[in-house]
Amino acid sequence: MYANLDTYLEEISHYLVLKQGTQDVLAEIRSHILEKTSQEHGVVNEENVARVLLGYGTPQQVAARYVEGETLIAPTLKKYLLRYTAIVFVLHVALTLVASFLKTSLVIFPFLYIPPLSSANGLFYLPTAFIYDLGLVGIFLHFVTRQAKDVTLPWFNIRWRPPETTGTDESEPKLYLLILMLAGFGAVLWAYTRFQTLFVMGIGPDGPQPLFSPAVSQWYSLAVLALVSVAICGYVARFYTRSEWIDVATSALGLMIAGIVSIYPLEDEPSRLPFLSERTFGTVFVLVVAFTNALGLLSGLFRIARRLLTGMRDVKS
Amino acid sequence: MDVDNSYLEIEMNRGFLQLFVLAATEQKTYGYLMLRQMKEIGYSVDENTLYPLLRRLEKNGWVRSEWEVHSDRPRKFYVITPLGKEVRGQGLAIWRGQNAVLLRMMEINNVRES
Repeated sequence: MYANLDTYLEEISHYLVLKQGTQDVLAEIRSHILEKTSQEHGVVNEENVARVLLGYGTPQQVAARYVEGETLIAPTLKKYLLRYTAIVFVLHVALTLVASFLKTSLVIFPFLYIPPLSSANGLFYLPTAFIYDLGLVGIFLHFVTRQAKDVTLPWFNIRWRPPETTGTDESEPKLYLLILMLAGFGAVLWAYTRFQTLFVMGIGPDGPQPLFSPAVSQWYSLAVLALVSVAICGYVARFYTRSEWIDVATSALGLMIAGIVSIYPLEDEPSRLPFLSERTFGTVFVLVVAFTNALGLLSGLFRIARRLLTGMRDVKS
Repeated sequence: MDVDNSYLEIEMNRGFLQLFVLAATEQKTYGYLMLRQMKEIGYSVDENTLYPLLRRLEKNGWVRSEWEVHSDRPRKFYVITPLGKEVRGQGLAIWRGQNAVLLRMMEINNVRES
């Protein structure tokens, strides 16, 4: 009847997440707006309805007032989210290790599918596994919340404590450290542009003696430069914000770099060091970079999740 | 110095508004009319506060509602239930008790209203 009012209500309905009674709420808002238009403007037409709508609030704001108190996870269960996720994640890691060791896939349909993974791919898989576990536990607690009954869930006493937020987050970024990092990066960049490698045995009379074949040297040198660039960018960002998302972003980028590096096909070519073939070097390099960044990413995500939950509790109290 | 009392008002409104609406629904009434009556006696409530509150009160069983058509316009009327009256009585007792102890505390500590 009134196109602008219909559009407005349609938009509200997008944001209105109620267990029941959505149409009733929309009908009441419609009734109120038409009543108000009639009482305050005399004539009910699109123009006057538009005037009333202007003062009624955005559809998002209106819907938000109705869904207040509709919690996805009951406040009393929020502490369980991280604890249960930690337990499920430990099991997930153990199963991933088993799958990786046996070079087979593990399926617990429909909850779990671990494809056959190499050690390096297993590390890339872990952050995804963590996010999945968080979601799975979240869904479980949501269903418990929806039951609206006094369900007593077991509380497993774990002595392990998550990493404290003190440390890197609260430490001030230091200018002299940044200058040192930039100077180091400059030196490494200069060495690379001059010798096309960062992996050398030493400098002989004919110049530097590269550790690996030129193509491999170049590939891994570029990876080191990319990793250092990401670390410097992350450090610079800390001068502007203390957000934990910086750690998450830099770790994710580090993990991506490790992933890109790992696709390079390596042969068992000997290097100048008898015990270190190119393949061994490449595998260790990727594993170390992937492991440290996977750890950083998980720890960052864990801190953010904990802060969000603590924040919610603070707001509620 | 001007003090922003909006936060305090929101906090104090939480319980008060429920009681106020339980008093306003003694006779069958609808949202717009309730808002107008409240305004007439000097209390202003946002419509986006009142309607969700009415919905919550109805969910608790303290008011009941029904749609009626007047002058070709459907209106949702609310009226307090016996349970709502009981809750209102208890709420008023709490409110009076709180008021009394607050005044007593102010008297003991010689608090003057600024």
